[in-house]
This record gives sequence, structure tokens and C-alpha cells, in this order.
Amino acid sequence: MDLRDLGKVPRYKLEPIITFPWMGKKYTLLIKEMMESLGLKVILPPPISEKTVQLGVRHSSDMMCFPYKTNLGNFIEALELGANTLMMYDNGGQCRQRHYWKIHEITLRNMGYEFDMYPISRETIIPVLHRVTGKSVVKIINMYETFAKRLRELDAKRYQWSYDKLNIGLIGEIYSCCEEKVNYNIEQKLRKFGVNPYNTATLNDFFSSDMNINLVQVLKGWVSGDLAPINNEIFRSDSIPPNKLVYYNIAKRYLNGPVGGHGFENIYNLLWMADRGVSGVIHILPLSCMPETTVEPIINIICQEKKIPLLRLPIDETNSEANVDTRVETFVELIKRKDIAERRKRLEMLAGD
Amino acid sequence: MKCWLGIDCGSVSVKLALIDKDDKLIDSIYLKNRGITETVQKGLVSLNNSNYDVQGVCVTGSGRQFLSLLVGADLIKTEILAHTIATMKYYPEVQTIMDIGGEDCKIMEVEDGVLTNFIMNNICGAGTGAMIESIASRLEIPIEEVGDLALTSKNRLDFPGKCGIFCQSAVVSKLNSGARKNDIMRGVIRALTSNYLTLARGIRLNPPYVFQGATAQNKAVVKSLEEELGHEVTVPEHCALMGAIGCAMMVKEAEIQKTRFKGFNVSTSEYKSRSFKCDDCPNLCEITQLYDGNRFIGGVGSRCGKWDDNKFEKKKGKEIVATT
Repeated sequence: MDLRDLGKVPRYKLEPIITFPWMGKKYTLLIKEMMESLGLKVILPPPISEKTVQLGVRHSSDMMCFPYKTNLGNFIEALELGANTLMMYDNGGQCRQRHYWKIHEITLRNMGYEFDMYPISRETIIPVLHRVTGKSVVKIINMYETFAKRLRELDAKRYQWSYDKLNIGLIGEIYSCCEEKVNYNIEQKLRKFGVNPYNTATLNDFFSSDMNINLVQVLKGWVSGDLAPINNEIFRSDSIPPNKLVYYNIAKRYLNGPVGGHGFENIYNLLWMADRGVSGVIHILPLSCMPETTVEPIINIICQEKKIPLLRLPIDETNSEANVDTRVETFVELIKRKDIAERRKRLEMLAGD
Repeated sequence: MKCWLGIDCGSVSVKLALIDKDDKLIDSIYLKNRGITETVQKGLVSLNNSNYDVQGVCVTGSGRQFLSLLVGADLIKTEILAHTIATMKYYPEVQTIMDIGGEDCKIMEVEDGVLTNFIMNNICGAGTGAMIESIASRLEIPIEEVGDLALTSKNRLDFPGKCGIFCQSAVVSKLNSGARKNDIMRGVIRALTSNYLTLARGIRLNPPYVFQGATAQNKAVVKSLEEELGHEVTVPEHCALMGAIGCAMMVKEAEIQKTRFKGFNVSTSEYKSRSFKCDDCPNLCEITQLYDGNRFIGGVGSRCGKWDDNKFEKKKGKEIVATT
């Protein structure tokens, strides 16, 4: 998105009422809280339900991926509740998700809604919030740092490597990994079967590099009054958590570089988990997701090499929950039986000595 | 005689199997699924024998949750596991188990007696028995005779196997251009097996192969699988019943102290199921609740789980269907 275009977007005359799509209950509530701390009024869409999916499917092309449809459904429901300023994430990268905010805007305007649409990305988050709230840049950066800190705490609490239970790693597209209503509440299901789900596609990893903000650059921009270059300067474009740097380099043997979405991240996360002795991996992806489909064979090869059981769940509106249940239940049972057999083998070896 | 009961309630058929303490099949029945309550009641009545002392019941298949309420099951397992357990008992050397059912198909990989991987069709049912059945009924061939008829084919016809509907329209156009029925059936079966094996793309399937499910009774399917794989494929004697046998074995392994089985005479009680759409949240789940006369037994279908116990049973006024 060209930042100069931001000025051309007509500012909504009334008080802005912000809305944004759901992405995992805890994350969404945290983002809402942070927006409210800047003095903004936020209306969340109702949680994703069958109705949301139906609305999204009705107003989108058949070949769009499932996250696009649920996000559109979210926006429609929020606009009905009275929101007038929409914020949509824009990855600005290789995956077609970068066009979604614009297609959403066109679709919704054709449906007759009136609103402002702001794409949110690393490059635009601070100027957009500055424009909408009228608060100073320093205040917004402060909020942003608090947000990153809260996010880190939240994820550290939620996903811990377990040493007494079997660990099942979740890799895949970040939206379907985080949004419970889209992935059929897979984490809760896994916990019910007595294993520990470890989600690697988290917002914390996503924002990890954003915590190192270069204040000199910020001040420079603030003094000169030109906010546009700030974000490009202060945020590194590739975010990689420091503890996974080794695996990042190994992953480069499999793939030249990021392919958009969570494609490349999945590979080094998988390698990282394989070294920690993960018992099984579930790959969650929206059907026809380009980055995930690109890395699919690589993930297959790594799992075969390291003998990690892999379950792939392509998500689409035509999926039936019964089918997903059957597969997840069998997968967990498979891992448990494999674990028991391995333990027995080890015991026999010990007894043989 | 002590015995264990396994019930496999699939989308097309219901299979009941009784095994004794040596894992030997004592009695079994295979029924077309015409309404789960009636079919299971019918099956249990025809299995009824005063000699049988049922020690435990396990249910599997797509209807397992509801079925467990109906018969009082001790264990609920998935059909993939049930198939694997039974096959590994009969064929300890097996490395690849193939199962083509009515509306789903699976491939299980086994290594050193442990299930290591499985693949199940997820979105479309094109590579399944339902495709053969619908095309056979279109050509007015009884499903039992399809295999023998197809093996008499001399000419090779090719059909698209990715989609059942496209396949059917290709069949109609071939039929109109004067092709013989046996050639068509053989071509359809070849398309089905090659589509089925694309499930396992990227994975090396190792012999020995065991092929089961009701479709394994069709000799032409077995033959085309053998052609595709280039190796002999074993078909178990009770290929259609393997799921039921496997879950009976699992409940025997679990050593249930006191079974919850309600007896073979469930037909004497008046089972009523009630289904309605819950509109408490926008999910609009379709709930089915089971009653014995006026006594509430349980419910299935809700995402949040609140209709599963009888706290909420008294909700009225939203009944859509009531069957007796």
C-alpha cells in the first residue's frame, strides 16, 4: 500500500467506530483492549458462526481461501452492528492476502455499506493509528510495545513444551492455527485426549522483531513530520525469533526464502520441534492456500526423514466436523500406541542387557 | 459363553460381530443402513442367543456417537484404528492396509506392528464404493454381479476418476456410442482405483498389502489394484466385517469389568429420537436426542455440548422430525 494514498481515503465524518476480524479469541480481545487504550471505540463482530461463513461464502468468489470468506463475513456482521472504520491486516508480501483488504473494500462498497477501510501492516500501523486517533506517535509506539509484551506473556503461558505429556505440534497458516472457530477448536480437542498441543504459528513470533524499536529513527521522523519512512526503518522485514536462528539457516537448505504466508516459518518451526522430540505434527491449512501448498512436499519429506507422524487438515467450508474428529482422534491414538510400542521396545532392550 | 461385541455403523451398512476369548469370530451380521435405530435393533435381535454372555461392547463408524447411546457402549473408537487392529491380528506381517468403504476410503501404513500413518479422503467421495454403486444402478446391474461382469471385459475404456458426476456423464456418452456394459464397468473400476491410489501420492506403499471393506468383495476392484500396485493383494475372508471385529478386539483388550450393554432386546424398549435446530447461538447446530419412552438417554450433535446431558432436555417447540 502506498502511504500517500492514505491521505486520499475520505476520513469518516462521525466518530470512528473500529472493527476488525476475529483471529483467535484471546488475541482479538487483546487487540481490542489495546485499541481502547488509545481512546478508540471498538465494536467486535460476533464470534464466527455458521452464519458468518454463509455470509462470507455468498459474497466471495469460490476460489478464494477460507480465511477471506470468514473475514468478509465478520466485516458484514460488524457493519450491521454499526461499525464504520474497518481495519484489515495486509501482509504486504508474496501471498495474495495482500489484496484482501482492497477486495473486501470493493465488495462491501458494492453491497452498499459506507465505511473507511485501513490496511494494517508493519509499514502502515503507526501512521494509520496516528491518523485515526490523533494521538502522538510516541504514545502509539508505547502502546505497541505494551501490546508486544502482553502478547509474549500470553503465548508463553498458553504454549509450553510438556515433559510428561506427549507434545503435538501445530504448524500451518497462522489464521487457521489461531482461530478456534475455523480449526474446529483443535487445541481443546487435543487437550481432551490428554496430549499437549504446541502451536508454533503464533502472533508472538510474528511480532517478535517489532519489539526492538529504534527510537532515533522515530524521533527523526517525528521532527521532520514525515511519518511514512519510519516503519520501514524501525522494523526489520524478516522476523525470526532468536532461539530459532539455527533452524532458520537449516531451513534455507530446503527453500530459498520466504514464500509468503507462514510457508517458510513452518519449515524452521518443524525442524525446531523435531529436535525437541515432538511426537506428532498437525499441518493446518486453508484449502488452496498457495504458500502452504508450496511447502507441503518439503514438510512431507522432513516428516518422513525424522519419522514424525503427520496429519494434514485442509480447511474449507465444505468440511464436516465428524470427518475432522475421526482423523484427529485416530491420529492421537496412533501416536499413543506408537509411544507405548517404543517404550516397550526400550524396556526389552534394557532387560536383554 | 463369554463374548465381545463390536458394531461398525458406516454410512452405507451396519456390521455387527461377536468374537470369543480366542479372537475367533462366532457370529456376525451385515445389514444395509436403513435408519440407524431400526437397523441396529434388527441386527441385535437376529444375533440374539441365550448362550452369548456379552462382556463388553465397542462401537465405531461415522454413527458411533449416537450408536453408543443406543446400545450402551463401553468404548467408542474410530474406524481407522478398528480396521488396523483386526488386520494386524490376522496378518501380522502387513505393511499397507487399504480400505474402500461406502463413502470414505483410507490407506493405513503399518511398520513393525504399529500404525505409523493413515490417509483418509477429506472432501470428496469420488474414489469410494458409492461411485460403483451409483453407476451400476444406472446400468441396472445388481451390485453383487459387478465384479464378475467387469472381469469379462476385453476392451480397455478410460474414464475420469476425479469426480463421480463427471465419470457418470462419461459413462452415459460411452453407453450412447455403443460400448458394452462390462467394458464400461471395468473402466469405471480402473478409474476408481487409480484415483484411490492418488490419495497416497508422495508415499511409498510397501507390500504385503491387505485390502478390505465391503468393496473388496468385488473381484474386479482387487484385480485393478493388483495391476496398479504390481503386487498381489490379500483380501481377508471377512473383509466387510473387519471394522466390527477390530473394535470387538479392542474392547476385549480393555478388560471391561462391568459392561454397560443394554442387552440384545433393545427392540422391546420404545426408542424415540427427537431432532431440532438449536437457535441459542448462530451456529444453529442440529441436535438429535434419544428417549426411551419418556426417559432421556442422551444427545449428540451440539458443538458446545450442552444438549448432551439432561439438564436442557426440556426445551420444547422446535421439533422438526420425530420418529418412533
